[in-house]
Amino acid sequence: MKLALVIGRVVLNTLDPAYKGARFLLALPWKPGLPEGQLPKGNSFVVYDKLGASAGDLIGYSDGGEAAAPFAEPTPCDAYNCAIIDRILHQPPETAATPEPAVAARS
Amino acid sequence: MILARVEGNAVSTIQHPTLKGWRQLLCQPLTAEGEVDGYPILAIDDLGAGLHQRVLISSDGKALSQKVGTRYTPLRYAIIAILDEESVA
Repeated sequence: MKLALVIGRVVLNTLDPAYKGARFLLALPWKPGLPEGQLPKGNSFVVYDKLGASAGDLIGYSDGGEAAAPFAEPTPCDAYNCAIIDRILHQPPETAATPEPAVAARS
Repeated sequence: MILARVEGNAVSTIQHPTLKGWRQLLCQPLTAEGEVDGYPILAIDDLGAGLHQRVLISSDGKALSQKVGTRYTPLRYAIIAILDEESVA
């Protein structure tokens, strides 16, 4: 799964019937270590979501062919929200001595 | 396969059912020389890779759907090997 920060939702009224009951999130690719409150750089993209994530959530999404796998019948989808991350611990080795882990808790 | 270093983990309660019970490790892909290469990814792990260990991540969804046991899984990255040591020729 890749990491993304949800910054909004996309509302559509005409949908392919295969998307019945789904929501679409607008997200930015995320990596740990960003200063607090600063949006990550990168192109935003739309993620298919059935878990109910909202703006500000950190999600784990999968892209490519695997994103279309969870559907019973073939559905065009290339970004699927697999998990809403509650807590992520990032502790790279460079911060030697007593590394203070950057914990991004769910606000 | 992706050479990466384990740099943390992630906890999520609201997730796809096929993720249930799997450890999610935050892995930073590395170049052959060991530098950081791209965004970190979350890979599921059943080998017990520890922090800062170098691992090999498979990005093949088909192989992973057998590991998880169902075809309907959106997962893609799984840790399939823990490196002892490696030398760049």
